[in-house]
Amino acid sequence: MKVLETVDLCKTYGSGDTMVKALDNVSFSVERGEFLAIVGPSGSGKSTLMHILGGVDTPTSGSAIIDGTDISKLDETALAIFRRRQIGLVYQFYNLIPILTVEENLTLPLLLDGRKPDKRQLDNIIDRLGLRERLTHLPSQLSGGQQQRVSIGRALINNPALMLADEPTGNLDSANSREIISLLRKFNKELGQTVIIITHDENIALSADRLIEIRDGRIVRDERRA
Amino acid sequence: MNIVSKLTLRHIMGHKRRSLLTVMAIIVSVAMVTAVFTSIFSFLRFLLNSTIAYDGSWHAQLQYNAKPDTAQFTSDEYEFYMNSALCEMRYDKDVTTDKGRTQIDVADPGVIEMRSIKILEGKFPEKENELLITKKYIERNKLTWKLGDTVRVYCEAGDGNGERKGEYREFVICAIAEGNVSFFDYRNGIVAITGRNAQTNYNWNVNVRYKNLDKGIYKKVDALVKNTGAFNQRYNSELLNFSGLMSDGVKTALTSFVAVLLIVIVAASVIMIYDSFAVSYQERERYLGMLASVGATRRQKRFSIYFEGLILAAIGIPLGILSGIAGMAVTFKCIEKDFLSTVSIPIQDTLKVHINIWVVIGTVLVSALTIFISCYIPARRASKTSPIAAIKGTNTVKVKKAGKLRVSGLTKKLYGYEGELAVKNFKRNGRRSRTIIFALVVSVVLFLSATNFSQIFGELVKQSIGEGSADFTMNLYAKDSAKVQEYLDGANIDGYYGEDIEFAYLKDSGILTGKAKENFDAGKNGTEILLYFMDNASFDAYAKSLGEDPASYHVKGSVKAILYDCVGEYLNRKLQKTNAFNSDTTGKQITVCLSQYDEQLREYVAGTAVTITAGKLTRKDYDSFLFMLKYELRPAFILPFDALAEVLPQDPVVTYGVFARDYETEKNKLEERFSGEGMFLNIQENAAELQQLNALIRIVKVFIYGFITLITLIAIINIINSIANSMNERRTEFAMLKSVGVTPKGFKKMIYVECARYGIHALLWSLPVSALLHYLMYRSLVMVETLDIPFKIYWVYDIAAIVAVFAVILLSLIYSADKIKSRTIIEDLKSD
Repeated sequence: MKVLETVDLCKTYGSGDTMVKALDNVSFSVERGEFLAIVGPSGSGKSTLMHILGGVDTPTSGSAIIDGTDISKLDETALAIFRRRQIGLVYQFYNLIPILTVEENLTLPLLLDGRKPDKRQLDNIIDRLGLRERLTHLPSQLSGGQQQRVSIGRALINNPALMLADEPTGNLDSANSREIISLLRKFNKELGQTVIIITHDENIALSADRLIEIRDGRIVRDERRA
Repeated sequence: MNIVSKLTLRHIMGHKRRSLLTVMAIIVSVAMVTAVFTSIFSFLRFLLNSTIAYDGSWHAQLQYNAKPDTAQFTSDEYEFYMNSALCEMRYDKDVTTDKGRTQIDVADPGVIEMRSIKILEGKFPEKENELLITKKYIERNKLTWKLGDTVRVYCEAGDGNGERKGEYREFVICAIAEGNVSFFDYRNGIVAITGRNAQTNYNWNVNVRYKNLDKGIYKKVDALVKNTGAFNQRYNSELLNFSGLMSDGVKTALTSFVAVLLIVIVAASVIMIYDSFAVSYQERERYLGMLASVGATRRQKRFSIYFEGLILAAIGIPLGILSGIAGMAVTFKCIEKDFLSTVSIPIQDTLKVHINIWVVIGTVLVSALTIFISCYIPARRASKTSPIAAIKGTNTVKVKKAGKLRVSGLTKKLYGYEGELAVKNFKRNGRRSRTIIFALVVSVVLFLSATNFSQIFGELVKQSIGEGSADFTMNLYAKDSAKVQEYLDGANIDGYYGEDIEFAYLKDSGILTGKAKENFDAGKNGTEILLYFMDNASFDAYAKSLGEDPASYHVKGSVKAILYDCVGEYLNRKLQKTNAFNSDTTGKQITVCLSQYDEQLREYVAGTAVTITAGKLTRKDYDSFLFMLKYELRPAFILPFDALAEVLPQDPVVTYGVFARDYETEKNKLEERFSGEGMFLNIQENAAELQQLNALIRIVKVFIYGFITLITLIAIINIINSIANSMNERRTEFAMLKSVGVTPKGFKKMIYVECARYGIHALLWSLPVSALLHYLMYRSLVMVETLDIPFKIYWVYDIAAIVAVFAVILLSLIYSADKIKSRTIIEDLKSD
C-alpha cells in the first residue's frame, strides 16, 4: 500500500537567467513500513524535497500525495492541521521550544490540536526513548542526543503516516548518531512506522531498506536492499 | 489553558524586562486617556457643583406680568417655587448708599433649596410680616438686628401706575441667611407668600426644576410658557451647560477638542506599543516557526500575539487607570489655587477628581483599541511566519542587496572604516531604524508643537486683555469726576484716563457712504454709532495728534466731535474696514438719537435727539482699556468729558483707569479719601485680573507639559528598548569584529557614527514638520483673534529638542554597548 507518491514534482527559485531548478520532475512512491534514505551532495535538492514532503514548502508544479491526500492542493490552515496529524518531522537542530518542558515538547502536536495525549501511547514512547527521568526538564538541560530523542518522540506522538528526518544525526557524535538511528529503526520495525531519512552519512544510508540518490534536482539512483 | 496561551505566558515571564517596558508604555498611555476623560468630567462636575452652590439647582425661570394661577403647575415632572419683587427696602428712609438700598422679595419656601440659600438661624418666613434677611446686609450696614427683633424699615414700591410710593413697615426677623449666593446679589431679604393670593406690583417668576434633566427640557418649557401665558423664559444655562446640555456649537467644540487629544494620545501610544510588540514578535519568530512546523495554524500563531496583548493589557489598563486618577488628583492639588482664582464665582467646593463608570468604560475601550491596533501588524506578521524561515534561522536583521548598502566616499574619508561599518549597519536595519527614527520624530514634533502652542496661547491671552490696560479701574458719576481727577493729579501715580461709551443712532443716511450706507436700516433705528467720551486732557492730546485745535471742541453751548470714519466687517476671518462718512461731512450739523431701553417693547429704541457738529474725520486708532477702535465695527463720535452734560440727559457713570506701580496702596488711599463723601465709587483691580489670566496660562502649561513629559517618556523607553534589542542581535557580529581586531576606540567610533546618523535623520524630518505645524497653529489661532502677534520661532526649544535627541540616542547606545562589552568574545561567537 502506497503511503507516499510524488508526481513530476518541480521546484524552481528565481526567474530568467538566475532561475535555479531545485527539483526537476521528481517522481517516486513509498510503501507503508519502508525505511528509506535520501542521499545527495549539498545543493542537490534533497532538503527542498524534504520540506515539500513535510508540508512546510509548496512545489512549483507537480503533486505530492500522502496517505491519499494531495498536500499540494491544501490551503495553509488545512496543511497545518494535516502536518500535525499525519507527518512527523525531525530536524538536524532538534527545533525544540526552549521554554516548554520535555513532556510539553513531546505532546505539542496533540496540544495544538486541543487533544489530550493517550496515556498508554505516551508512556510507550517515553519508555522507548528513555526519557522517563527527563520529563520536567527544559531542552537546555539536555544533551544533544537527548534533545534529538525528544524531537523524534514529538514526531511520533500522533502515529503519523510519514516520519521525515532531515540530517537527524548531523549535529551528533558517532555514538549518539548510532543510538538515534537504531531508535528510528526500532520504531520502523516494531510499529511499522514509515521513515524517510535525509543524510550525508554513508553508513546510515547503507543501513536503509531503500536508497534514493538525488543530483541537480533529479533522481539518479533508486535501489532496494532488503 | 491551551498550549499556545501557556507558551505565550511563559514567554512573557521569560522576558520580564521587555514585558515590563510594554506594560509601562500601556500604563502611561492609559493614564493619559484616563487623565483626559477624568479631568474633563471632573471640571464639568466642579463647575456644576459650583453653579448649584452659587446659582441654585433650578432649571428654568418663567416670567409673568401678574401672579399666575398655581393650579397650572401640577405636573409630577417638575418642582417649582414662585417669587416676585415686593419692594425696595432701606433700613432708614434717608439711606442713599448702595449697601443700604436693597430689594426684598416674596417667595415660596422652595426658594431655599432651589437657590441654595443657607439659613444660619431661624426658619423661613411664614407670615406677611416676617422677614428673612442676609447676614451680609446686617454686617455691611453695621446694624444690630438679631433674630426675633422687630425692625422698622422704609419700603418703596411702584404702585402699578408708574408712580413710586414709600412707607415705613414693621417686620419680625424670623431668619438670618448667608448672603453669598446669586439670589442675594441685588436683594437681601425674603418675605413669605402669605396665602395664595398675595399680590405685588412687579413681574412674577415661576422657577422650575425637572426631575429628569434631558434635551427635552427646552420643548417642555416652551409648552409650559405657552400654556400658562408667561411672557418670557430664561434658563439656568450654566447648570444646563455643565450637565451636558450644551449648545451644539459648544458640544462640537468640546467633542472635537477631546477627539484631537485622544487621536494624538492613541497615535503616539500605538507607535510606542506597536514597537514593543514588534520586538516581542521578532524574539518569538523562531519558535513560532517551530510551532508552525509541527502544525500550528495561522490563527494559533496570530492568537499568540493577541494573547500577549490581552495579558499585558489586563495588567496595564487597571494600573493605568489608577495612576491616571492618582495623577489627576496630584495635578488638581497643584493647580487648585490657580484654578480657583480663575473661577469668578465664590467657591463652595474644591477641585476634586470625580470618577464616573462611563469614564472608566470609555478609557478601557479606547485603551483596548489602542493595544489592539498596536498588536495588529505584529499578529499578522506572526500568522505568516513560515516554518522554513524559523528552521533556517533567518530571523535576524535582513541584509538587502549589497548595492543598497553602498557608502559614499565622503563618509569613508570622514569616519574611516568603522564609520563605514556604522553607516552600513544603519542602512541594513531598514524597518527597525525607521521605527526608531519615527518614534524620535513623533516625540520631537509633539514636544515642539506643545511648547509652540503654549507660547502662542500665552501671548494671545496677554494681548487680548491689552497690555496697556490700567492697574485698576473705577466707576463713578460724571458729576464727581472733577474732584476725583483733582485728587489723581496730585497722587503718586503714573497716569490715568477717563472714558465713557454711549450708544446712539444716526437717523439720517445722507452723510453715510459705502458699507455704512448699506447697513442703514430706514425702518428701524438707522445706523448704530458709538459716542465715545474721553477725559478732557486725553481728548486734547488726541485732537492735537490729528492736527486739530482742541479748544474748538470745548465751546459751551455747542457739541463738536471727532468722527471715527470707519465701518468694519469680517471677511474670511479678517477685519476689513472702509470709510463710513462722505468726505464733505466735516462742519455739518448731525442729529443723533441716544439709545434708550423701552420697557414696553423690551428693546433699545432711538430716544432723545442731540445735534452734534462734525469735526475732523479720522481713521487714526485710539486704544484704551474699554475701547479699542481697532476692533470696532461701528463708526464713532469722539467727544471730551465737557460734552457729557450737553449730550446726555442724565449724569452717566464714567470709568477711570489708573496706572500705578504700587497700585494696591494707591487704590486703598483713594478709597479712604472718598469713603466719607457718600459718593458712588466702585473700584476693580485689573492687575488681579492679569494674575488670574497668568494662572490660567500656568494651568494650561501644567497640562501640556505633563502630557508631553509622559509621551516623551514612552518614546525614550521605547527607543532605548529598540536600540538595545538591535545591538543585542548584532552581538555575534560585534564579537567577530573584535576578534578580527577592531579596537575599543574604533568600536566606540562606530557607535557614535551610527548614533549621529539616527539623530540627523530624525531631526531632518521632525524640525520641518514641527515648523509647519507651528505655522498652521499660528495661523488658526492668531488669525481668528486678528491680533497683532508676529510669527516667532522659539529657538531655545528647538535647540533643546536637538540636544535631547542626541542625548537619548547616545545614552541608549552606550547602555547597550556597555552590556555587550561585559561579555567575552568567545561567549558571543558561540552563542549562535
